[in-house]
Amino acid sequence: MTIGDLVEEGTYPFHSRFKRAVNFTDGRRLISVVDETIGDGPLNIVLPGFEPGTSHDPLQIRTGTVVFEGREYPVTSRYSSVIPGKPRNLSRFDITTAPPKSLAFLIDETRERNFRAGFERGFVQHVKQCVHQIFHGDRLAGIRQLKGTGLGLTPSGDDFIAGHLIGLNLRGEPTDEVFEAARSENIFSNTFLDLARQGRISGRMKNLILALMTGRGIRECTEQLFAVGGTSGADLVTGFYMTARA
Amino acid sequence: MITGHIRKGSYFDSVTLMRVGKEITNLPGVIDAAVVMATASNKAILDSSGLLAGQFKDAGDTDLVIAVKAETEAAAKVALETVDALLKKPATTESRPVSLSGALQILPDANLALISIAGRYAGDEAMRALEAGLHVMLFSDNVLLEKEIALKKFAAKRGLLVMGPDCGTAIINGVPLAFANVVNRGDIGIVAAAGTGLQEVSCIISNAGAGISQAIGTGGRDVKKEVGGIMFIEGLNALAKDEQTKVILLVSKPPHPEVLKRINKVLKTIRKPVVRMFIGASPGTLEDASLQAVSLSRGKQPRVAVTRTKIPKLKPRRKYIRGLFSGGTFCAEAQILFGKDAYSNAPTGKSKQLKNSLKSQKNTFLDLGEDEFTVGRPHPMIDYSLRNKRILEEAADPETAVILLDVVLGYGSHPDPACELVGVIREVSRKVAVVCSITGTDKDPQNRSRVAAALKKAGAIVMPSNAAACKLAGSIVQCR
Repeated sequence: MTIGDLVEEGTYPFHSRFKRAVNFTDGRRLISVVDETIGDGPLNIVLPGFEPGTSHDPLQIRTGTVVFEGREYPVTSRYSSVIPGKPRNLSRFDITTAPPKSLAFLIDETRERNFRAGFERGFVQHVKQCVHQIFHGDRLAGIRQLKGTGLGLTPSGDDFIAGHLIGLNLRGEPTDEVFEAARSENIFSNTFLDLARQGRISGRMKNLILALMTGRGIRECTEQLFAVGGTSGADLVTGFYMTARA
Repeated sequence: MITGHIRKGSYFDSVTLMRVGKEITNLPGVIDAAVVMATASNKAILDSSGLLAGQFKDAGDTDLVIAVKAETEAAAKVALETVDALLKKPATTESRPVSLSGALQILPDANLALISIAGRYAGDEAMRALEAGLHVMLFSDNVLLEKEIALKKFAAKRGLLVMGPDCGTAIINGVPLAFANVVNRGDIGIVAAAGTGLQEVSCIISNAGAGISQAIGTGGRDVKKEVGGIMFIEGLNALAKDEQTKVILLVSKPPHPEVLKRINKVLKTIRKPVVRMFIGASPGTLEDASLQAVSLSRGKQPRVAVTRTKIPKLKPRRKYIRGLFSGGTFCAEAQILFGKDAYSNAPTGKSKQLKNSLKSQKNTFLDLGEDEFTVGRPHPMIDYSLRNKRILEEAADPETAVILLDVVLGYGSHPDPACELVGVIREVSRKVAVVCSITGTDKDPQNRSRVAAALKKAGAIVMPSNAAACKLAGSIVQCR
């Protein structure tokens, strides 16, 4: 079992359960027990091959052990979520295989044709206006308008902002104001936005940055990120790429 | 009418919400729909899209809203009930493997891998698939020639097929792969080193009432000297052994003479009737070859519909054809049929190289699928913007008499080509003759008859095949 470097000792009540993750909370953020397909993260506990049961027991983190659904597991390693360095060259980054409904249309506008229904067209226009504001106008106003935009647990807008925060960290720019502007009532989004604010990233994002630093395995690492969620991975990468290259 | 409801404190992942949103939008009578969390931003978009029902204003970030715009109250009610049912139903397990080995864990019985990734990686991935005992369809282009040869030699030794690289279409055991059409199943097997050529012959055969057993693409380079027709011959042998195949149809640009020799040697060993269409080298057209295959399959001549056309009156200065093709094979066939001096960015037969692909000279046949037009943008079968712009430019040239177009339907192609073309055809058909062929069937998602009707209504002359369209275009300019 690998445990993220920001997981602290304590007892955490049950929050929610998904196919590949069981979430616990300290009231402010989520600590997640996940399988290896989701993988490492600053607040993830990776338990290979686990199948979520039905227990609502709290998660207990002790020195060297984790008690999850009544079973005690030894901690074998700690995952370091610190950004490993600065990519040398972003030119080999490729969004071709990003999911059609992701925000990759911000990089390749021909992808806008994937958004056909009335709401989808409105979504595209709204996102474009917000992102223009972020990069060419009042950044915080753009962030406030973009947050919560899109579907699901972590709306596309929030994923993009998380990528933006990682990019800002990479450039050594302040992130607190952006995070405050992006904060909402959504604990899923707040958790990963706060991590991005601190420059803490998942294993897949770390692998992509390492690939961009070394020039090796960029395609594989990009595709692994694109496979996260419906569009979450691609939305995150879009925000990161646009910020890092700006 | 706009209606909807709110589910308080409901979280669903985006994959589920996308699936639900798509399913209800496709319901009859539903004009538009959205299933989203009620964040301020999403509510603003609902408002601007005309989907904000009054009750949504009080919903918050952690509430799910279902918004439906429908033609009738009954349709809206069905949509809302459908959402409830879909959200209760566990999502189908969606597998998105990120590697070949991951895909094989999910589908251990798979026997074919379709590879569509950047060319520089595609060869290695194809080799991994072959090593795992899979046939390969290699959609990717820009695979090194040496790699292609190595893959094909490796596959041939193991009795496997490598369709491609740059293989855009195939139909295997009735399953259309990549850019392919929905055609009848039947007893005519095709081997083609020409993608749109394969689509054209399979559609003509299907529209004539016969059907396809297998359609094997090889990629255009297969019949070059260097590759030696390895997969063309493997495909031919496979069809010779295939019990479902009674007639074999071969389609290609002329193979290298040494390759042709090898193909002919194999043909002597095959006891099934074989129709050959090596564009520019064989007599006739793709249509002729298709109908000959139909006739061999059915034991009688197919009935050919006569197309009556009314040629528009053109000003005397208008005397040239401007062929704007999305399919390379069609562009080649047009040049061969035209026969006289013409210009092209992909010259075949007696045509000359166009000096500047952006400017037509006299009779010009353009392959808009060539790299010079597609770098950084989708293929013209998907994205009509470049061709539409060129149609307007050509019509504005006072010497243009005929604009000749191919419209390719089927999976992968534009979902609504008529919608893209009708406006420009309506605009230019007052000045020039617009002659189109449509490669497709009524079973294709776009429906050939529906597309044909829309184009005719806009002022185009729609012919049953590329060859027929080319011949008509030639007749129009020869009469001038």
